[in-house]
Amino acid sequence: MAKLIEFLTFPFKSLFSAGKGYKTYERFIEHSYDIGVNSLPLIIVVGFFVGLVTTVQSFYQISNMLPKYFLGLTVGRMIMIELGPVLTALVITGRCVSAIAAEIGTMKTSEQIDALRVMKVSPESYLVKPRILAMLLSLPLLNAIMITASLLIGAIFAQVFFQVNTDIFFYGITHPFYPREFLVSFVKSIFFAFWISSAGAYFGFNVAGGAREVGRAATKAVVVSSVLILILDFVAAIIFF
Amino acid sequence: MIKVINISKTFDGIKILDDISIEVSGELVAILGPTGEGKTVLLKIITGLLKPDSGKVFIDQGETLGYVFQHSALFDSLTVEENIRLPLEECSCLKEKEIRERVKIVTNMLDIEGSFLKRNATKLSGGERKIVAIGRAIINDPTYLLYDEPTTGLDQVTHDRICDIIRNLNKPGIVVTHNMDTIKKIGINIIYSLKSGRLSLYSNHGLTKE
Repeated sequence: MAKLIEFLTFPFKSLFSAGKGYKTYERFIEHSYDIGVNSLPLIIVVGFFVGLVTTVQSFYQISNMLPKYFLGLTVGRMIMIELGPVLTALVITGRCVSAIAAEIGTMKTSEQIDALRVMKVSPESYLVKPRILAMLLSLPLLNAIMITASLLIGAIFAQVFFQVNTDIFFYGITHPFYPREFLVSFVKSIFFAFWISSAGAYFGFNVAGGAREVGRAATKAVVVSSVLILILDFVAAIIFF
Repeated sequence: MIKVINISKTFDGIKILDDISIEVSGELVAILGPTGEGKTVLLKIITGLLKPDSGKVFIDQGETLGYVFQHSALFDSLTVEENIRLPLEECSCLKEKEIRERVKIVTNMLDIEGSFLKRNATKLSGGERKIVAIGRAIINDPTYLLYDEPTTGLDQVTHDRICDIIRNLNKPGIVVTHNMDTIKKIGINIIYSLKSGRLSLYSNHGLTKE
């Protein structure tokens, strides 16, 4: 129970830890580049295949039963509300959260975190705050890019292979249009970003030992983040729908 | 003044430090002892990184500590210069020009300059890392310096160079080591011995004649 409370309060303590604002900003930019820009190719590739698979599966389910614009409606809703934010967060967990845990864990075992404390620098402010902020910026943007890539490739594939005109496909996506559905996607991304970056940093911070423990911390961070994404996704589904 | 009063610390049922008391004011003192006797634990308690089971540490108001870690604890993603200036960048109100001047003074003291300052910390040898760690510890001009095995694992030339640096800095503090040669080279007079968790005065006139 104490560990759970520690985990839940860790990101808030980190965000409110004292540190020089402009130094935090510099590191925030650096981490945003690493999490956001460097993840772009992977997110686009994943988005392409998510779009393709979703389009093929949806067409198989609705063909000859429903009007063609239902393909856009189904693919659009699935990707925007569910697959976009969840898969983006899971991909970023694999790529970045494990790296956050491993990097901070290595710093812990090599006494770099102790060195910060001796210098009267808050390790939470130096290491955790900019990473959480960078994730809060990057994940919703990556989600938007994943959704865009998926829908574009889905529309092209539907036109070429299923003779569903792109106008009809996009008509399905936008009719009916509920801003809430659009909003949910980004609200989920923000919550995922907050908790997965916190999990990475938390498990890195709590490494005690050597290389094996750093590896275990990275694994724990990925496992806990993945489960958190699914739990938060369920909570969001209950709250918003 | 650093005042350590009746410190005890136990790890896994083994008493590492047993009722340790020591005072350091204007001099560099050495704590001599074999590996695993709790020298690092004592320094970490003094710096506040570890909490003692009992006892207290007092440091006079306005006085500060610099700590040279046993394994240097440099930031691998930073260059030599960035490592040295980090404490000033993060904790001082100095302007960039003043920081640069301070870094220049310290790097001159340590006799490091030019392209070496731009090297990444991962590209440094053990001895070079120690020198950079000393630079980082002194950049804030602390009142006391604590050195944790500053010469372990170094060749004789680098060992002597680091001893010269420590002697020339002429800062009060504590050097913990298992190497008598280090104490001789630095020229420390007050030497304590830490064995089986107990601290005792070993010599107050150095090791030069022994």
